[in-house]
Amino acid sequence: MSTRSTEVSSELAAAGRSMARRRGRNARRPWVSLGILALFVLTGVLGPWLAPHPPNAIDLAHATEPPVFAGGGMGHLLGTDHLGRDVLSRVLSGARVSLLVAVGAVLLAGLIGTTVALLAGYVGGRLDMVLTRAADASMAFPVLLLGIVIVALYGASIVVVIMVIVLGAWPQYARVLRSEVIRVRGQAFVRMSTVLGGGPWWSMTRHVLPNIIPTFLVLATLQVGLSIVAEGSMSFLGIGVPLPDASWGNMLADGRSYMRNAWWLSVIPGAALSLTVVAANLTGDWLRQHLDPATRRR
Amino acid sequence: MTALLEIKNLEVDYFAGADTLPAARGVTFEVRAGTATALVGESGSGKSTVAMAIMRMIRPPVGDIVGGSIEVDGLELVDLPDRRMREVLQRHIGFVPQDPTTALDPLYRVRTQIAESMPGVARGELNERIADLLASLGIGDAMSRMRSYPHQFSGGMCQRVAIAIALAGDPKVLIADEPTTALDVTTQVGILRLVDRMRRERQLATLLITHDVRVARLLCQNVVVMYGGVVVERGPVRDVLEAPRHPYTRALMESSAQGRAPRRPLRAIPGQPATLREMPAGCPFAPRCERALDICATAMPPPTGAEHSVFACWNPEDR
Amino acid sequence: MTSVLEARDLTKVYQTTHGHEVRALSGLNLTLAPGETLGVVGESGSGKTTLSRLLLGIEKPTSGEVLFRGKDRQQFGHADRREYVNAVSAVFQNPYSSLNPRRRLWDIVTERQAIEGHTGKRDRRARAAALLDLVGLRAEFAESFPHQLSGGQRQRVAIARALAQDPAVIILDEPMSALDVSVSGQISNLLLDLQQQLGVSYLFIGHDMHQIRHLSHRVVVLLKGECVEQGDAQTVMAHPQHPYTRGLIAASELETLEVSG
Repeated sequence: MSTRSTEVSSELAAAGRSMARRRGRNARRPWVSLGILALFVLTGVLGPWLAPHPPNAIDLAHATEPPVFAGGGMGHLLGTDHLGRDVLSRVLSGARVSLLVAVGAVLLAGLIGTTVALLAGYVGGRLDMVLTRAADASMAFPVLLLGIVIVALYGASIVVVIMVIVLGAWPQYARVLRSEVIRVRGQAFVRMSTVLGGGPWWSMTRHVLPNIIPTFLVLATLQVGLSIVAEGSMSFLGIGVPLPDASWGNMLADGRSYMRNAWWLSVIPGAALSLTVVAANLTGDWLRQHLDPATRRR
Repeated sequence: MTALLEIKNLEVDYFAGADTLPAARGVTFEVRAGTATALVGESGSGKSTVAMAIMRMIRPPVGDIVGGSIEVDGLELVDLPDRRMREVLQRHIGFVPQDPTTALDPLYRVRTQIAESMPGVARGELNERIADLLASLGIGDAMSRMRSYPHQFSGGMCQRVAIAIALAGDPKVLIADEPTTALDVTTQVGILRLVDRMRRERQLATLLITHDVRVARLLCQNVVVMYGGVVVERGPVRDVLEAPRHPYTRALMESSAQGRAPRRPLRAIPGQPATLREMPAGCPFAPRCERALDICATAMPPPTGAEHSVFACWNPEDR
Repeated sequence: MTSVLEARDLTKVYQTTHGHEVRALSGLNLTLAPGETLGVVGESGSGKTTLSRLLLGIEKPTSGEVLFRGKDRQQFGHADRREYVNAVSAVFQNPYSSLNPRRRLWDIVTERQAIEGHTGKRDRRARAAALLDLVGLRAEFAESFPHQLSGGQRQRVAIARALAQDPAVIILDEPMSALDVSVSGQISNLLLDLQQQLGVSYLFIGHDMHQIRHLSHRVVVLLKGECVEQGDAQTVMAHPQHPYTRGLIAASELETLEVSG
């Protein structure tokens, strides 16, 4: 195989990369998506203190009021639900739940998945076979079913939600990152590291890990979105964060029955959810480009 | 003996972000039926760009042909509608790529891939025609071997299959992109011999892209030397390679280790090949040229010389 | 004068998944003297890559010995092994994958020092600057990333890295095969110059007979894992004994399309 044609193809690759850059203008100025994510984290952390009303306070006198931009009063900016609970307050405290789920699930699944990927990809052989089978089995497993069983036995809680999501998500990290590990490991600079006397730990931490981090970050930001949505699905099934505590997912689920005359009950948490997921993905894109020395703006 | 492939003042750009990179400028040469022309150059010289431009593989948003003309058998290709261009590619131009092992689809049998280039042939005749073609290219037991998959062939055999695919449509023009670079040394001569024989038997106008001047001398009647996107010298192989006028051609001839005294320094060309991003004004070779004059850095030398023996240099080597 | 590196009856056999055996190397004998360049010529499947892996300790031989300064590597103690790692270094073929794209050049070049852990960043940077200078790269390149360099410049970095530990032997596995003709001449000259300055030995693996003849004192020709011819480089080139060697030389001449022998 000749690498003489590499010059031409690398010129073309550079052209393709900057084409992608031009398309994703956000990639150069990620302020919008980063801003939204920052807002998300902020409300997640400060939510309960920012809320104008206690999120679980029932006030039947003010039940089912529309948001202020659809005819409602200033007392409840985003309206109230059928029990008179303030939607804005519930969205803010729901952000905290989503934040916990997203961060918890992503970090835990990421940790497990990356470790498995490193072991399977770097060590190879028997260990690789065992770990890959384990990942396959986990992917084939009906995770939601397990969630229902656990909730039936121990009741619903945010911990169960995170556990179920992690169980479903870690194989994604493991499989994708395993390929990356194998790819990087095959590069000459890793082989050189062995020649220079670096042991497996040295190669893994100094060479392999830094080169798979960009892929990890893209996966992680995608998973942030998926986790938040997964939490919503679990709420739909009744095994998510238990009422009366608000999460974007269970608000969405709850609001279903009121779509006709109180559309804001689902639409508003749905909008918050969508916005956050999109922001997470865009940030992931930017992060990946920013971390690659070859495409970073110097 | 008309010119089957005629390139006139071809200009190709690559678009990389906000920049427009000049990959080829003012490229002019022709290839006549039954003759082989070598397009010689290193990385960034523009030789692969020219080949890809001929086959319309450079299109927006990656790049585009921004000037000049490409004629195959009198037909202008540059603004030809896509559908017509595809016909031309299928019936008039055969392309042999650089790496035979990646040029073939590993999922399909060899026979199927060759048949793709023979759309008009009747089902009953197909197998025989393919077997004949493969046999003529030196693949023994062709009838059964054509049912094999690419991975069952060696590198040299794969290249013969690639040549079969290129010739299956009975083209008039053959473009071979470094056909031997990915092969072992002992296999290379066989493939080169094959290309030469095909050229003679089918009277193909052959454009051979290579970085190795010896291949040019061995196989071709004419040579076009490119550097930094421009043609620095072209003409009959004997003339250009034995008495080069352009300093780059001369340096290229002298930089090989062949025949040099053991462990004595070689006459290496200093510096790096020009990259598209840092193309200097004036002659692209000027920064590395030991004969460079002041004017070389500011103005591009125009092509001079007789009709078929042309060079572009302000300070050429003496004959 | 003991040889600095020696292979005795070196053999490597791989087991494939189908239970077949692949004899990558069979009974290879070679010696490398101090300050000498030994050229190893072979095409694909000749065993040259396996040879470099065995000599570098990336893989263990199936049978046979590797001797360093007369001592069998299998008898090595901990200190001997460390000495070996310092004494035998490598430069690989592909300049685009032999440098970690996420590290700066000074960091890449002094990786050995980083592994040993005795040298601080400032000293490593200084050493890197000296090494880059030795291979003809300006000091300011030390802070660059690999993608900012051309193929030839990257190979210089790879050579600088190989020199960082003051090696006795550098194993070069097709170091110029991926480079442009106009650049490989520079690298060739650099290698010759460094050998003169530092007295380092080279094991130069390649497939271009002319390149190898030009750079080597002695040459070994490999075919399917076996040495078919060995001797003084000029003599072997001028009077090849084995038909395969003759075929290789004829093919590299590219003087005629008629291939003889």
